[in-house]
Amino acid sequence: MTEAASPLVEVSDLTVHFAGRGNVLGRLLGKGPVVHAVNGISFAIGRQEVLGLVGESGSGKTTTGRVLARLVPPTGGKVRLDGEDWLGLSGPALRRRRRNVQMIFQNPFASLDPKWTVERIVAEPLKTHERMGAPELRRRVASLLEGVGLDPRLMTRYPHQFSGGQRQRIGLARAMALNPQLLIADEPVSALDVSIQAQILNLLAELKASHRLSMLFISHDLAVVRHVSDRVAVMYLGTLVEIAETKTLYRSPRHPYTQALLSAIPDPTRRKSRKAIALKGEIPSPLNPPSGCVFHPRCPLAQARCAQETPKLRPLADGQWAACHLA
Amino acid sequence: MSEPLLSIENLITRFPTKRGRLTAVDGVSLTLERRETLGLVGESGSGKSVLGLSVMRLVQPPGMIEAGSIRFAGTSLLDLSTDEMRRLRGQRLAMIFQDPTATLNPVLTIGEQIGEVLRWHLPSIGPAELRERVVEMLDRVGIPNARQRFGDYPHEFSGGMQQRVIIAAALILNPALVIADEPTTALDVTVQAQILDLLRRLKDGEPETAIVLVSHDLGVVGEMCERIAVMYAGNLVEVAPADDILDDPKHPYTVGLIASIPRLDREVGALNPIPGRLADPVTPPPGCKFHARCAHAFERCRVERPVLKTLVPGRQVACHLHD
Repeated sequence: MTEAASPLVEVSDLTVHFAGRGNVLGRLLGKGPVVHAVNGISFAIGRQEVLGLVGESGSGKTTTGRVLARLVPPTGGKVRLDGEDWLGLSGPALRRRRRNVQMIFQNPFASLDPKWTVERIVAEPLKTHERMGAPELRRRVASLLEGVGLDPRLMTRYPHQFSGGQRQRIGLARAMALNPQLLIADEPVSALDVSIQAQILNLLAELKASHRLSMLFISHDLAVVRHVSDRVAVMYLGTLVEIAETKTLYRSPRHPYTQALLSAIPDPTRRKSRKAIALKGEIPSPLNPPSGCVFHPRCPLAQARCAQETPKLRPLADGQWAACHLA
Repeated sequence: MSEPLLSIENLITRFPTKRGRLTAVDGVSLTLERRETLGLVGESGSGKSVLGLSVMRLVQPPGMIEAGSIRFAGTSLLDLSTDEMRRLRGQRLAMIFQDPTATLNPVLTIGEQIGEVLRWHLPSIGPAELRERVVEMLDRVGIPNARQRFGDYPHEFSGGMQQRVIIAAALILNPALVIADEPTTALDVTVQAQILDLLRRLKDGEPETAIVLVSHDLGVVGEMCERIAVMYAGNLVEVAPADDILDDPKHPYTVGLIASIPRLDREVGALNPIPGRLADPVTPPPGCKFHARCAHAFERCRVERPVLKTLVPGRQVACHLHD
């Protein structure tokens, strides 16, 4: 495979377990409860591709994003970035490559230092990674702010002087400062009103095109994910249950969880035709995930086999993969 | 024709701030029929939650209702004493909030909390009967093993189950009106579907209860409600049957709101966001508060505030374009 055709990110068998609360003695002995946040997932993100990652609480989607941003160490598995062992990098080698992966977060207020001016916030990554004089730095900050639709004259202000949508633009300017290859966006529009959300989604699409970005777009909102993603991966309780081209996934979901999830969304455009697939019970605790297929206790189609045997993600048609014995 | 269940006239609710008075609800008039389900829709700062709180007379001081009237089942709510209002709340009027963990008391069992509602309004009720009625209600809202869970504490329930407990407490006295403020916003999609289904079933089983569903989510409101009222910057800008609003919105703000939503059913190119953002509520612009963001604004919109007018029977819009 040529360099250009190989995916930018290759995740294989990624596992993340956290120590749960439990009692003190158990923790000291390393025998406390374990949160199975991510259980052996594999996927790839192509060059200039947006991969949507959807799931509900406890699905592991945020943890997956944080491992890719190297904010959380994995328990097992590999991530290759541009052919390189991304999780194996450390020291100066990691610092050099870190600029290629940037992240934006759901709450643009919590992720911006309230005591810093916008200029300082956006300039910070440039100061860390590039040598340049003050006038050059200011010019770069001004052009980055313009690039996200903010008036550069506002750079002397502080985050609290901006609205939620504007703060997300500031976060994006900071993330774009080093021209990353991969942007990890964790629920970037969930805290915003729909009219503002649409502005930010359009901006993300522009940035993706102008900067030839790859993106991992993490969200619980399936309509938003459909709008921005080339392909979509669905997670449930630490497991990747389905991955496919966006059109295919929304037209013909194959995993019963994906089907239920899609049917559960109240949508003004199909309010008369929608028939929700009711799921039994609630999402089990990742402290004690079910045996076999993690979805089997809630699955309307579950059979005896599903409680014993863990289904593997396998290819169906058209680049669509699902982890279900029945698909 | 009989009087509507709820009739709000020219209601104004304001909050003093350092920079001046913030008008959260700016002259709203709205009626609700018995047994009706009305969706109250808007974005942050629209005043939809404050309108709901105003009807319950739960606006937090220093905020206060400064003008207008609220008639509920023949009673003028703003003329009631604090005690009289407290008696009405819970019994005839109930409210459900977004965050169940903030609503439930963490140190009381759920049985005690729901039982408290009963005891407050029916002081003569005996412990056995109280327990029976609470268990029956928990059962109706879909709490499994209700009898065993009577003595459990809120933290022993998931978010979805906690919201069921709150719905049980709100509905146990068969109120005539329930105001539900974003009741499913904090929940996952599949759990939201369960709660919406529960609300629908409870409504069918208790046809005397009217519901005002306050939400930012047009999808939720479109499925649950017969009528939708759209708020912007403290004003009602459009009120109409749900199908009319969603299929043929009249106010440019409603049109923009619907065009902003990414669609599940098909691909669109770029979204059409509403340009700009909400004007400062302390110093609102003259004329229509939406005019600076409106593609159709003309001279009159900049000077004269439009009032809500009836377009065709059942449809109201506050826009000079539709005059």
